[in-house]
This record gives sequence, C-alpha cells and structure tokens, in this order.
Amino acid sequence: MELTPVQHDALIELLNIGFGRAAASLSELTGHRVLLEVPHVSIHPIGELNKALEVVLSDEVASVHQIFSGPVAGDALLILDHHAAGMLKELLTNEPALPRDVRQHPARAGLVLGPASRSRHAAAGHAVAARQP
Amino acid sequence: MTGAKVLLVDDSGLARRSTRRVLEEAGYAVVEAEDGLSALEQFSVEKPDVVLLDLVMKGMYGFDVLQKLRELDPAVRVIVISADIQTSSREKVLSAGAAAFINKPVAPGQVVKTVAEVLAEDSRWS
Repeated sequence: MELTPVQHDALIELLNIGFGRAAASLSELTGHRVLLEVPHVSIHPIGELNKALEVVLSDEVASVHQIFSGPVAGDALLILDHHAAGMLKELLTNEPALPRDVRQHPARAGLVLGPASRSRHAAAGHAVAARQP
Repeated sequence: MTGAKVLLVDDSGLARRSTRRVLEEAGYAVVEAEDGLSALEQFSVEKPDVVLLDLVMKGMYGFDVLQKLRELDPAVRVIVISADIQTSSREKVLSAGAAAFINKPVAPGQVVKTVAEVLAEDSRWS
C-alpha cells in the first residue's frame, strides 16, 4: 500500500496531534515536561511488522493493546522499550522501576495503528521523547 | 486589516495549505516556510507583519526560531500554532515573547480571529 505525499503528510499531522495530547496528559500526570519530535510514519504489511519494528525496538518490550469497534474500528498497539517502560513506571509511581539505569538512555516508543485483524496493512509511527523537569 | 502579510511556518504541507487558504480568503497575503532556517530567511526578505509558527518541526525547533526572530526584531509578532499543548510549552513561548498560542487542530475562524487581534495591537493595522 502506497500513500500519496498528501496522505502521508496528513497521517503525520494526525499522529503529531495525538502525540501532543498524550504528552500533555503525561506531563500532567508526572509533573515533567515532555519533549516532542516529529513522528516517523510508515505503512507495512502485517506480516512484516516485526521486521519493521526491530529498527526502533529491540530487546524486551512492554505493550498495551487496545481494540476499537464502531465506525472507526481496528487495533492500536502501544509498544515501549525496556528503558521507556522503566522511565514511565518511575515517573508515575516515584519508585525505582528496574535494575537497569533507565535515565541514561532516550526512551523509544512505537505505535501501531490499523484494522490489524481485517486488513493486510498497518501504519507504524514512532517518536522519541525525553523528560525534562 | 486585509493586506497585511503573514509568514506561515510549518513543516506540514497540509497544515500550510489549509491555513493559507483561510488567511487568503480573509484578505491576507501569505508567504510560507517549511522549516526554521527558511523562516528566518523569509522573515528578513519578506518583512511580514505577523508570523504563524509551528513548534514541533524537523531541524530547528519552533522555540529556537521564536528566539532568533526576536533577536532579529524585538517587536516581531509571533503566533505559535502547535500540537504540543502542554501547559509548560504555552507558558514557555508566551514568556519568550509570543503574542498568542493556538492549539492544533485549529478551527479556521480561530486563526483569522487571532491574527486580526494581534494585528489590532499594531497601530498600522488598527
């Protein structure tokens, strides 16, 4: 599936707005400022998602899977790498999260959107965020 | 206030096209820049009356562009339009001298209204 430049631009802008809202909520919950970058967006066949995600995520991950139904239906999968998950846990609970020092690494998060169970393609977006007091 | 020149800075072509359309329909002249460096160049060449500036862009971040614009012209009128709707971001850009902050997604009427309000503070356009 190929996106036109306009469709690609629209998808980036849509994710940009979504990430902005997520950042505002995280900032409110944690008391830290979240630094945003322009999201990277790409389209992949479902069967090739693992390979595509390996570029931004490797090692252990934590994920949240949300299934949507209704006029806009599909699956959303939020995937955090080890460092991001630990950092988020630390910020939300004020407790040490994991044995590794998560503060020395940038946090990476991936978001997969699409009617995964009914289509052969899904959009993958990812952004890098860092906390700032 | 029609005839005023607006510099529109956003790395999203979609956002630039949609905002440009509503501004031109309202009678403004619009010039565009897709990144921070182009914005600084366009600002010097075109001498716009107001700048609409995105924050989250590739290359130079919008906040840095705002600071550079203020160095070039301390009286520059900058309206920040951003998906970064954190309270701290809004406070940061307003304290750095932005005239207004608009959250994305933007209602067409809101852009025209805010541009008019900011220009109304300038005696040349009031």
